Amino acid sequence: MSAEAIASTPSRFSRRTRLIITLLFAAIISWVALDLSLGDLIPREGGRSVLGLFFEGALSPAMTYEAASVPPGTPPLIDKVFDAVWTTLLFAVAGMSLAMVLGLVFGFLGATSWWRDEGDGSPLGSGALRKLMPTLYGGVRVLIALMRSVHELLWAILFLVAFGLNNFSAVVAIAIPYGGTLAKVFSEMLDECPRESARSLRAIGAGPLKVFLFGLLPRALGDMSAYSFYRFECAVRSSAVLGFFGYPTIGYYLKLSAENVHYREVWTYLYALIALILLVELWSSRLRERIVIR
Amino acid sequence: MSDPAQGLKFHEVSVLYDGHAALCDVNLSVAPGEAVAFVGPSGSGKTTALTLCNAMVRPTSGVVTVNGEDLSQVSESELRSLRSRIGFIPQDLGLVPNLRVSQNVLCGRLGKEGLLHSLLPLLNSHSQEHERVLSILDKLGIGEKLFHRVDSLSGGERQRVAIARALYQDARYLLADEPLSALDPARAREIIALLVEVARDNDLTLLLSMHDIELAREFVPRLIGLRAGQVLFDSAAAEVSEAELSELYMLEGEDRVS
Repeated sequence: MSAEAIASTPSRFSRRTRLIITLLFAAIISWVALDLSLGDLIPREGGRSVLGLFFEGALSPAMTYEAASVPPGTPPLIDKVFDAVWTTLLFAVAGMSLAMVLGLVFGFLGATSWWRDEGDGSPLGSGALRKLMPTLYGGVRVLIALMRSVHELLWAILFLVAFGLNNFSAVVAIAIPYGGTLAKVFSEMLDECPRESARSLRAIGAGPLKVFLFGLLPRALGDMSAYSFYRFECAVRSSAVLGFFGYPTIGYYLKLSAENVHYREVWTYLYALIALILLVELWSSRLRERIVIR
Repeated sequence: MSDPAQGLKFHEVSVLYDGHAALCDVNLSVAPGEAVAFVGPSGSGKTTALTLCNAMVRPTSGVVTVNGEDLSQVSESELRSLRSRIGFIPQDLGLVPNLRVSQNVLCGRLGKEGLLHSLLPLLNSHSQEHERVLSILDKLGIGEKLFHRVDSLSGGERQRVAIARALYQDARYLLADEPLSALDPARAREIIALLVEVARDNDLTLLLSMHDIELAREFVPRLIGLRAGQVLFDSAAAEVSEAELSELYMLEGEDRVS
């Protein structure tokens, strides 16, 4: 071992120890500051009976309305559940399709591997684009960060105020943060995939767009698709929760039933949501297995 | 053919990486249609010499000319069109493993044709271009692999795909960096013979880098021996002496004794 290596060993060790102590302190401070005590989780008199009622519902989810009477012409509960599941799926697909467009465009512009000079000549030539690209890239990275840093529920609040309760505002609320996340991950996948194909295409005179399409994209496509399917699963959950704001997805009906203390109906919707998510997961994991090539 | 402006020339070429000289004052010229191998131990500058020819590496000093054009003077777009006339088979081959053989070969023309023109045959497997690709693959003995994915092929087959891509490119030059390094001895013989043969049949100027001196002597007409970035010998394969060979592969430091 060289003298430098011996000298640097204790200092690296103590740096790691310092980090662990800092993280432990952060955890302790947060618990003390929030005055958390496990006793809070023990339900009081009234709470206990509500909790009992709630978990009873789990064993006997409602197949018909719990209310004593429903207005004439109301569709059966099961129809409503299927409708809610279908709408939840529709919002997820619509939001995800717009997110994919945003993710692909900004993922491409937010990657550097197709245009940055790696010492073998600038792929962008010597024109204006070469001067413009670093600025465009920087702008896109900032935009991606802004899109992702606000949660879809907060975007939903913003669009509810701006556009009112229409379906498009919910789709955009999903599409913006999801598009930002896809763009970030896509650009990283494009920049981290093996470079030798891209380099060999540059060596025979292919321009940046062709290097991207034939040298980089095919090598990242498997990972990009697998990640997109995973994000679609997340989009189904987001779509369900957006119902809390009044969009006609599962969350909307779930909230109504909970407010009316119809816990057996709540469980019907919960089971429907779980079934939907399991189905989507099953489908996407099958597809992912087929796509990812290692 | 013997136009002095044609061919490839190095004039006093040096390449420095982080202060360390990969090539030092190298002069050489290669006439059109010649087949030349850079030979020498690891780190002797073979790959650097080869990649100077398509400007994937730039000289620190000196001039590299291809067909009379000084590579340091051409614009980026001229460089692209020049590169489209120089086939290049890197040591890792640079193929896209999860695309088909046909698609990889079709990529050979990416430097020559417009985006749309190069995109269409890649998506349509019944295009006329496929006929040409198939005839090239047939000549190289892997016609039946046309629609196989590259990652399902053996090392020798992949090497042939890389050669097919360079032939489809319709280049005037072919650079191959250590084309035999991943192959067993029998396969290596086949591939070097094939490279020299297709270069001759297609009137290509062939430049190789190799560490297997015996195969180089047997198949390549002219050898340039590099040692520590300097040209030790540059002569016809038959004229390379045993003394030159032992000097080429002598370990660092041994030369101080002799």
